[in-house]
Amino acid sequence: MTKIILSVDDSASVRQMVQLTLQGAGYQVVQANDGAEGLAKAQATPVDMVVTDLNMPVMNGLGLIRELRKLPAYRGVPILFLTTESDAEMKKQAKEAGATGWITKPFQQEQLVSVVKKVLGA
Amino acid sequence: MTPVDATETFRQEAQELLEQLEHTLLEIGHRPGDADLIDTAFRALHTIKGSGAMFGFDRVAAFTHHVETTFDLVRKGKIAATAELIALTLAAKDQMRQLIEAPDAASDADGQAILARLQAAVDGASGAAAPAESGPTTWRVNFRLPSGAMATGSNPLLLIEELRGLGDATVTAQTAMVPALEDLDPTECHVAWSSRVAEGHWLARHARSRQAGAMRTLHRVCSRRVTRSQHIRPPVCLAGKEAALSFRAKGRPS
Repeated sequence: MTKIILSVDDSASVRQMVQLTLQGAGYQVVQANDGAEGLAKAQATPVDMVVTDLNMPVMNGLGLIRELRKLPAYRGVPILFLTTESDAEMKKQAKEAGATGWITKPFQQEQLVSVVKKVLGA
Repeated sequence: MTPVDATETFRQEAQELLEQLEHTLLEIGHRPGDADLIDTAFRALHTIKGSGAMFGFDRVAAFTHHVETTFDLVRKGKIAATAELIALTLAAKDQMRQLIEAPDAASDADGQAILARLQAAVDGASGAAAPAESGPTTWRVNFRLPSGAMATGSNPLLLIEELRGLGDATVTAQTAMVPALEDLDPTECHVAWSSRVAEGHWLARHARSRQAGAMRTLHRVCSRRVTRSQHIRPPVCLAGKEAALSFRAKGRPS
């Protein structure tokens, strides 16, 4: 069964690149423009993984993770950060909020696929 | 879908972000302590940098990184969003647009000069010694005509001539929106203009109260040159050494 990945980023071009990359690797991708939209979509359609930006309007990536981790269905779902941020303190906050991993932009397509496969085990 | 499509998506996205950035910066000029506005400007810079790097716009990403770093200091309350800082960020925004839309024509020396002035403004805003500047105020005037402007007989050249009469003006045509010949619509003015007007004697004499008066004068000139069926959104003025005025003529709602 095709795994569904939610891509949350306020940059349409990044979302498009993530979708192209992951669809090419056989995943289904759902897009959201910010944390609030991502939360709504995650609640409406169960997803197998979330790949989210950090700095976004309305609700940022940390807010999204914290809200998702409150939901029983998302306590164990992998959530990756895909961001230009590489600040150690920010990474610590992300880990405390429940992030599974961190990929720094700009990313290589092969790197994204490799990390997603490793985390999902498929 | 090919990677080329994603690159084009970035170009379109960057264009929207740069417009949003300009609008937000001008608003910050009115409300320099507004955290939401500062966050919005930061995010626009952040996205242009991150997405630019992703799609191979390395010069855009490298240049924007410095501007983003400056705005991060504003966001964290370490420096104030001074009028000078805003004006320089607007200049940086023009450089980013050039790097995205016409990279071959973009001068790295111009970019470095903007970044050096930005750094000097940061030093000044954070309390380091900054040399006092003197001389006339320079106005940045950006404008474009509304949809269907050419059908109503508007002639932007008259406006440009009159702007030149106000002081030492450098006017640059922005041609990025000019479509291919087969798509050209003769009722549309596809060209926008950006100009810098150094405050000359005429403007200074008619603008005793400096920025506010100069803004009114520029607005009056610009308004007069737009036909009756259109109106100009009130311009935004920033106080300080370099002031910015940006407007877009809009069709009056019927």
